[in-house]
Amino acid sequence: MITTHALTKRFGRIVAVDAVDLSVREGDRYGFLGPNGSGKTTLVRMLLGLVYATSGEIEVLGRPIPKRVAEVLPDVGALVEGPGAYGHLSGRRNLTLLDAAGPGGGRRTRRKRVGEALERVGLAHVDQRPVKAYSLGMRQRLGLAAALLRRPRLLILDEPTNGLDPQGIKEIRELLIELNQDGTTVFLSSHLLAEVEQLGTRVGVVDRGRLVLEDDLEALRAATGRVLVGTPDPAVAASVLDGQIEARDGDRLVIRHDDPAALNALLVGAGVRVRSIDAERRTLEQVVLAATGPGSDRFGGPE
Amino acid sequence: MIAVELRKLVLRPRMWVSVGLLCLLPAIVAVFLATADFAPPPGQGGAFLSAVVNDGKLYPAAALALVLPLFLPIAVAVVAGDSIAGEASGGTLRYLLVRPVGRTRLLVAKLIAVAVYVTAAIVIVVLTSLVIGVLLFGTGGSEVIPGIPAQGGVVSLSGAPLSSSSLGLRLLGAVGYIVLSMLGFAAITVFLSTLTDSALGAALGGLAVLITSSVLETLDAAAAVKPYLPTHYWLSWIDFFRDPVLWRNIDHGLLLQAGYIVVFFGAAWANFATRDITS
Amino acid sequence: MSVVRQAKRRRWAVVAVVAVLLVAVPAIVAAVRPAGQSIAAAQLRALVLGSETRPYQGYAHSTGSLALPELPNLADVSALFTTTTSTHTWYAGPDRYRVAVLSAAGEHDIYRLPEGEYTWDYGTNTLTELTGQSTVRLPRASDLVPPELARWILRSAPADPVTTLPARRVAGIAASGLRLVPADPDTTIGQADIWADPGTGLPVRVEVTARGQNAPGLVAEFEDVDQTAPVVTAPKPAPGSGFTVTNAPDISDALGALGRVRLPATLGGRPVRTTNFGGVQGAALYGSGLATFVVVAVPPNLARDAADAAGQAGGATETLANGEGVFLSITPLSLAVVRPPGMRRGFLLAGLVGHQVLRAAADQLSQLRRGGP
Repeated sequence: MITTHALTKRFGRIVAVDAVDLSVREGDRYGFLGPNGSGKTTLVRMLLGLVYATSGEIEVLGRPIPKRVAEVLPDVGALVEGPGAYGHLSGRRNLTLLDAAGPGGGRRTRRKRVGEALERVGLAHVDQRPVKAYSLGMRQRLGLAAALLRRPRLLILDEPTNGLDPQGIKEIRELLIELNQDGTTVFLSSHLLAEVEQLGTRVGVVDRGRLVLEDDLEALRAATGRVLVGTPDPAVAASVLDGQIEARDGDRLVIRHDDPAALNALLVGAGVRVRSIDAERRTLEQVVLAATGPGSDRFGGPE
Repeated sequence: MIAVELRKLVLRPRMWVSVGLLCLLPAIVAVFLATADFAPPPGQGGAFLSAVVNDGKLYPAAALALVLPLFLPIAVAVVAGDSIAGEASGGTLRYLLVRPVGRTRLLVAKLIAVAVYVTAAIVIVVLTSLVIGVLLFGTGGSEVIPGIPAQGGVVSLSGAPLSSSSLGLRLLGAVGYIVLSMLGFAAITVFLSTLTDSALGAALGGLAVLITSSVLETLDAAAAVKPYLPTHYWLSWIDFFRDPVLWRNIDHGLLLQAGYIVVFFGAAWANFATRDITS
Repeated sequence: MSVVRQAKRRRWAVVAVVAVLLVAVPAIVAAVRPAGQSIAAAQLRALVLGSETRPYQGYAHSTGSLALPELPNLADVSALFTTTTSTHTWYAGPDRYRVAVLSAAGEHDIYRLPEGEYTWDYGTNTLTELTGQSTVRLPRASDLVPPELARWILRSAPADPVTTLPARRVAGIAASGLRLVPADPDTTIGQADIWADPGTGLPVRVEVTARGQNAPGLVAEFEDVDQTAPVVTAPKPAPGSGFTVTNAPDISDALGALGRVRLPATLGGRPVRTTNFGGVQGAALYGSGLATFVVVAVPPNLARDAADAAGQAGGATETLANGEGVFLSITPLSLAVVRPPGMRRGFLLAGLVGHQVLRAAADQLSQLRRGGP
């Protein structure tokens, strides 16, 4: 769905995006993770033909950008760096104008489309008040509704949960997963690790303009070959697993072992009471921290 | 897209306020003229002002002369400056482009919307001032000023009487000419609007161009560039009220404004279509 | 920017080319249609002098750049020589023409017809019929239309030498040029350049340069001219506007000239050229060729105002044989205000002559006794 090759963008002497090779496959829920100022928004803008690359190539839906961006965009829904709407008009009027501005879709079905989009994001019963009276969360939902207006094949969302309360975040997440299951590819950029971890099936990590990591979430979170065991009898366990224990913290043990089930059987067979047992997995945070340096908005600290 | 831009224009309270203000100035002047009951001495006040007390049908021309030097350009600068920069600072520009709306298409739609605004504003000013003029000054004869024959009637600048239909046609020509003059200026401001994300900055830039042009117009040393100044032929709409109509400056003014529209709209197109949208 | 750099350059190039083309169109047109060769100067002079019956209608500018002071009652005249005047002329013949003086907010029309002369002033909303014709009157805008100005210059100096100037294109006409340099050492006019249609002799551009100056002090040029006969008819008084009939020449109007004063037959060694002011005395034109000056007797309050205005404009006060005079030189124009003491009149002098001529005339005038020489 999205492929970039050696994509680079310079603003004067500042390199915002540096030789990024991105690959988003159809059906992905792609989490594009990076701290603020790492070039996420610039990359998203380049994908949409708003900002022109300094060098490199972009392909979205199999077509080159920005050359044939006009053919691609009708199938793309986007939310870029916060929603934008005319403050003096109602949300419904905003969507109607936006729908009328672009190609496709008849005038007769416009009302229905707008109504459906508003319903999807939970604004079905919003009144006629102007957008400037909306809360940040409502504006965010309106922005999402605008992105969903055309039933896009690809959703490119930049920080979509900004300003939403936890309930709203959950609703949006469920909505995105539902859309994804109906066949929409979702590209979501965020600086929130938890958001990407909860939603994504695939993760790209960007740091100071460079793509430092790109893989399936499952692969990143593969078992480490260690098992975490909680037991009231750590001393007994230690004697049973002589040499395999890597760390011991009170009644919690870290054991080098491939198969938690087999280990469990072994311990129980040896009369060790097991309170909890689980294969150790790397957290996304660990992966990301390993791949990136300190935050790019830090200045003067140790590099 | 054009229809959408026009709907946005109509839905914008600011537009109606600006048109209302444009109509207000001639209305205030008319009230003072009517209550004072004497014409301003010739050569003082705006064009036609001394003549309108004889016949209110000429008041639209006087109203145009009143709003043209400053009010109308300011209104045009605000609307044209807002065209791209306003969408950019409001965050709606990126959504329009992603919708997708072609950048050139958006520019054309914006320019047409400005043209419609200018036309509507001038036509509304003309109509309201016609009503005000006829109500306050009557149509000839009905309000006799001492010492002036009671027949009334509208006289061209050259002294020949004008029939109502001829006056209407001349007024129509003047409105068309002023619209085009304003569009040349609007094209400059739209171009500035593509350079910045600040609508106010673009509008002020447009007014700065206007003021520079007006200053150069009074400077003898700048004689060589005068025929190319955007405001050089602005006042030539008055030639529609001469007898016969003096086409020479009107023709030149039309060509000049067409040139400004082509060049600055071209510049706006060259800049906007290849520019990074970072707002 | 590399992805769109090509497109950006191409687009800006298109815009730049279009802009340059548009700005250059007049120059290109001029280059495509060269002005050609001038015809001989003497032949052109004869053609211009004989062009009085040639009809034309056209739009002209005349630009004066003299630093004239604000003279009392003469603001209209001094404006002719200090600012740009736009005129539209319909000329069917020497006794049938209309000149419209166009201003930003009005119009002043002069109609000359066999049956009479009319002026229309939009500002005062008045049509005036002038009956009778004065041989000398104040300069007015219709005198600065290129054909009138050129013919006046050539007629004033019929014997002065002329040389050929390069042709130039004026208002679409490939006009031949001539330069007239006055032979009289007393005139302040350095040269007069005239361009005219070599076919019909219609003058289209005139430049008058004062002696010792490089830039012309007065330029009159057609912007647009059509050599077809216009229809010029008498204006009808419009309903609602004023109509007056007056028979006084405008010079006495403007200056309140004192009719009782007799002026001498020669002043400053210059013979009087005309004293026939349509029956009004107290004003006369002296000198020959371009070296001419006019003398007007005025009431003392007017003379005082004029002296003040001239003094403020940098005029020098000099003691005359009797009383004093204020002299002001704005090349090519020399002005003087003579105020003999205890007299109930003063004199205004203005002309295209040097200071010493005007000074001699002023001396003579200051000694003039009441009731004539």
